[in-house]
Amino acid sequence: MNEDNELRQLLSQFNPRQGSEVEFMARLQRQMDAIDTVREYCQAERRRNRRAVIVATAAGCLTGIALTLLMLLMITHDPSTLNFILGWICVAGASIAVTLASFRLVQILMSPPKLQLNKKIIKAQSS
Amino acid sequence: MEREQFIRLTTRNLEDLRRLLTALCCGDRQLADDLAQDSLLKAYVQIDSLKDEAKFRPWLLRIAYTTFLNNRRAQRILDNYDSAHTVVSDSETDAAFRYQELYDALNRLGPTERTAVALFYLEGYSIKEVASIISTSPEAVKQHIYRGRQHLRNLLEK
Repeated sequence: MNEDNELRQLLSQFNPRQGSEVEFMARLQRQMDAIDTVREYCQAERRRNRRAVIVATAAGCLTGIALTLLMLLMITHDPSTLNFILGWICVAGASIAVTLASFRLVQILMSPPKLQLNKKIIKAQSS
Repeated sequence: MEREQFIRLTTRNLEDLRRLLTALCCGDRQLADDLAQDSLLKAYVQIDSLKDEAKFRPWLLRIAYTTFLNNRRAQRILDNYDSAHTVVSDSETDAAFRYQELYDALNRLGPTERTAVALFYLEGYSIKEVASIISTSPEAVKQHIYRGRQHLRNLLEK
């Protein structure tokens, strides 16, 4: 118990001289700025991908419906099995192509501010 | 938690954090400050996992302890007893050597013993709280503190 008190007393007097708190906080805040920038970038990326998925899904569905109707209209004139299979393959292929193309298009149109991100991180790292 | 709130809590606990890490780094102030920065950044990144603001301090100290352990594992520089003698402080006064014996003694302890002793005696945490911070059982903390106390007593009596 005595040892306990001695040690407690010894360590309670431990108060080493620290560097400037202002400088420490300024350095911390610069790094926090970089984290915030990365966070914003990630959020923008997520938003961009979410919107791209929504637009692509809608575009794919609309294309699929439109082409299906067109195909049904066409095969009424020549209702052979081969035409039916070929028609469905064309509908599926076109729908997939439109979906992928619209996904990529939305991604390109909503590109994140990459240059700004890099500059901010380099600034935080160098200081 | 908002950034301003995080900064407010950090400012309130900064002195304790830096003091603890200075003790764990045996007086290497530069390393202690780097670890404090790393710990605070990790805390800021994970801030959403903290539900209760009142638990900020032990939560932050747990992160600081993990950061200290990771750094120690990565560099192994604190294992070298002689390094404690070459600990450099940029103080112009003899304050840099004021705690030299204590740093030497702390440097002889393992990282867990050192942390347990520092948290218990320096920060005034209970055994249970220390156990929660260093993620071990209260019995193990008692053992660490007992062993740490023996080491410190032997070394400081010299």
